[in-house]
Amino acid sequence: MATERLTDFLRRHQRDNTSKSMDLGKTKAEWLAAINDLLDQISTWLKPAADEGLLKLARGEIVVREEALGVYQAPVLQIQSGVRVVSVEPIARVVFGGTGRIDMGHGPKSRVLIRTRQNKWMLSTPDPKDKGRELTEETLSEALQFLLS
Amino acid sequence: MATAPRDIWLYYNRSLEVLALVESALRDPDIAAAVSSDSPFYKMTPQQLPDVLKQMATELALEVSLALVASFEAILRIDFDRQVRAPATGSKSVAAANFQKLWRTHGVRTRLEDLLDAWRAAHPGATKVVGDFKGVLKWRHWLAHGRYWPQKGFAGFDPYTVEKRAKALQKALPSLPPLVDW
Repeated sequence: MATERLTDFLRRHQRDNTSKSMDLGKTKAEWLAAINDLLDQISTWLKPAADEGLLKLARGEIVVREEALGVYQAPVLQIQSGVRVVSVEPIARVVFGGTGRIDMGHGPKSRVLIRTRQNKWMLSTPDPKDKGRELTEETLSEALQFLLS
Repeated sequence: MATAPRDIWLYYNRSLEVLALVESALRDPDIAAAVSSDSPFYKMTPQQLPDVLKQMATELALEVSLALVASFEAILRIDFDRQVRAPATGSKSVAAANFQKLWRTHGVRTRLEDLLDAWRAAHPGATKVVGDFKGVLKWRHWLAHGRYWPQKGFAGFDPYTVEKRAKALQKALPSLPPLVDW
């Protein structure tokens, strides 16, 4: 009797996991597209400075490990000014209070980008109390000046 | 009105279950995304959650331990008060006689440790369990005073230690009012 119950449970668990993994594939693709869109937008904003030789922009990939999405490769952007490099790196699609987190960091300094459910990016300090401001060319500029200084 | 140890124990177990439920629920991407930006969890990832919840469970255990020992203290003091104020009829137990001596010397300022020593003197076979319970009192003292001195001799103490030692005390001192009734 107990074995039958366990079997039912395992069947249900398997069904749930199968449907979830299908959803997760879609979620991961959508997340990677959102990361690429953001990195494209940041690159566009920084293109004038890069064209002038003030910055170097380089794309790469990192391995992200998330419980929900598993292990996957995600794009990163490196912004170099002289010897200083700010990395714009995806941290997780699943984040509390948002639908994705990307960190911008240089050494111990960092800024956090949280994607809202309305697909906007909020730029803030790592402090949970800091709700941040919407990412714009202006707020990005302020963040980069902080991180590169 | 004194808080019943049973209520504190129930609170502890419910709180532990809530922490486990939170950990489970927040693994769901939709629930995680719905966390308010006012939340102290805002911006955290599920990978960071176990450490935070472990810290919360550790702090909860300390706070519950303090409350639990305090509730036992209330029971012991109420019983002491009842015994010393009881009309002097017939022969008193050894413990009650010891309580009278304490009352005459210290009155309401009688220390809980002295009260336990009075119990121990009346039940020589209970020396070890009374000593163990006094160890829990030292821990309560450390907790109640802001944990500002080095924590020595309390390694691994938690609400289960308190429960176990209170149960042992209750078993060794049958005339003690019930401490652990769950």
